[in-house]
Parts: sequence; C-alpha cells; structure tokens
Amino acid sequence: MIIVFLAVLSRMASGQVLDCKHDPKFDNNLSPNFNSLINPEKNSNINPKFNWNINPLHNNDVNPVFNSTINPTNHFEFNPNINKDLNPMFHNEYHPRNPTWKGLYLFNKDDEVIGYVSVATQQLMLSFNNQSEWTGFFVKAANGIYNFFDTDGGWTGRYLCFDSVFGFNFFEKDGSWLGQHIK
Amino acid sequence: MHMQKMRLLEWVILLLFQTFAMAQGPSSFKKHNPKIDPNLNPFANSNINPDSNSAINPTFNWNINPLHSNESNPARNININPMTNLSLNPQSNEILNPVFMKSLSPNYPTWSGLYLFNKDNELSGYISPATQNVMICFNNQGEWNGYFVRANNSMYNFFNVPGVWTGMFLCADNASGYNLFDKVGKWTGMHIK
Repeated sequence: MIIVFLAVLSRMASGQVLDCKHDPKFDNNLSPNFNSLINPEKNSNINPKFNWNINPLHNNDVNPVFNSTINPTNHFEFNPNINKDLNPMFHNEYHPRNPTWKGLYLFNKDDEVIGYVSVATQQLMLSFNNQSEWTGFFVKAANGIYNFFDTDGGWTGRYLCFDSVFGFNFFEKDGSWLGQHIK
Repeated sequence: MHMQKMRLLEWVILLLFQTFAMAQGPSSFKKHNPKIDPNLNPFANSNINPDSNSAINPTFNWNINPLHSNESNPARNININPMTNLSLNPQSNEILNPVFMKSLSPNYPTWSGLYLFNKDNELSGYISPATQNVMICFNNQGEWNGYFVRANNSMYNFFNVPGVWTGMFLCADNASGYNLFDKVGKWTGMHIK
C-alpha cells in the first residue's frame, strides 16, 4: 500500500522533480553558501551595491523607468499580458505543472526550492511560486541583468544579476541580497 | 443418484457464476469503472489528474477557464448559452429532453452512456450524450438534474434543468473522459468516464 502511494506521489510530481543538475544541495558548486565565486557578499563584481553597472538605481540603461526599450509596457514582444503566445496561462508548456516542463528553479538562502522559472524567449523568463502560481516575469535589461515585473507588467524594482558562473542572484529594490538565487 | 449429484453441481456452478456476474455489474459499466481499470482513475493515472497535469487544469490553463476566456463563458458568449440559443435547451428542444426522449434516461433498458464518479471513484451519476453539443446529466437515482453544453473542443458548461448556468464546467482529461470543476475553477474530484 505504501509503495503504491509513493509511486502515485512520484508520478504526480513528475513535472517538477528537481533535477540534480540544478540542485545546490546535491552539487555544492551551485550553492552560494559554499561557492564564494557566485556569492555576491564575497564577490563584489556580481554585487550591484558595489558594481553600479548592474544596478538599475545607478545605471539608467538598465532601468525600465528611464529606458523604454526594456519596459514591457511598450513592448509586445516581451509582455505576456498583451502577447498570449508568451503567457503561461494560455501556453501551458511554460507552466511548471505541465508534465513535460523544463526550466530553472528559484532557491532561498537555505537552498530550498521556493519557485520555478520558465525561459520563454531570450528576453523573457516567467516566474512561479512554489505553489506553481504565476507571480510575474523577468525582462532582459542587458547581458546578465533581468528586471522583475508583476503579472500586470508593473516593475517591482527587484532584479536578477548573473552570478558569473551558473545562474542568477535575486536582488531587492535597494540592491540588497536576501540569499535568493536561480539555478 | 449420480445424475442428481451432477445436476446439483451444475446448479451450484450456475448460481456462483450469476452471483459473480452481478457483482461485476453490466459489461458496459466495467469498461468505464475506474476501480477496475486504473488508467481511468485520476488518483492512479497522473496524466488525467488536474492536480498533476497543468494542461488540463483551468486554474493553470486559462484557455479552458470560463472566468478568463470569454469565448467559453456563457454569460459573454450567447452562442453557447441555452437561454439565448434554444437549440441547446432541453426545455425548448424536445429531442434533448429526457422526459420526452426516454432513451436518454439511464433507467431505459438499452441505455448506454457515461458515468459520473466522485473523488472516491464511487458512482454518483449518469451522463447521456444527446447530441455533439449537449449531454444530459442524472444523479445516482436516475433523476434528471441538469445538462452540459459544449463551449469548445475540450469544455462543457453545466446548466441546471431550468437552463441557468451553475458556474460549474467540465474539462477534457485529454485521454479518457472529463473532470468536473466548480465555478472558481477548483477541481471537485469528480470525473466522468
């Protein structure tokens, strides 16, 4: 009975099973807690507080308020609200509960999964919480920087910066890092 | 004496066979029974379970959610509303009305149709496809309690007998039947096979 239950459970979760290639608990190289190269507190090059090239508050080129070319309000090609082809609620292949889903994972500071990220295009990534609810989307601002917008297309002020090796770190509006990272 | 024993044995075998057949139910039901075929059971087959397959879950797939798709919402699309499209309304179209068309009733001797199951895979109703666009629904006592009207290729909205949309709807499970959702898009656990 227990074996049947476990088999059913494992099948039910098939779309979201954490691939070990993305799991920082399995591979310590992927964990900012163990790998100082990808930790913004130990590598100033990937920390927007110390590197203003990657800080939207200090670089207008990567700030969607000042640079309309990276603001989804004006751009059909990376706005899921006005382009159904990019909307995960209408194109289910982007949804993490789709059995064939492949994507990235959002981890907290303890390397626990707290969300899912689907790469829709080179400019757009879609974000989901750990309940698989669509929470917003990332729009590429420059190489290695993505601004985070809510589902209505409003900029939250939060953004991703490339960790220089594997993935991204997720920063707050003021440039502080709460330990969240994407692999 | 020997002949009597043989006849008694034959009679016992026949009785056992009949008892077994009755326990299994009609052969048409067996083909629909998720307790017999695990492929039909959403709690054993994750492909047809909306909790594990987002493509068939209207909470995660708005193409099949009347709250997010005006085309499949009878309050916004008059073509799929039996109050405005009377050809879909059993109150106006006798061909769809099980009170007049007795063959639609699950009590009819040669009835064949679909079965509604609850979350424990127990039978809780009967469905009679009347046309490609309308399916008539009965409770487990065989009483008519409403009908489903096709909204698109993979969806049906559920109306009560007077023709008022209940907000509930069916979505195809992409394999062998349908799952029944409430008016906020949450799966009731009920399914049709």
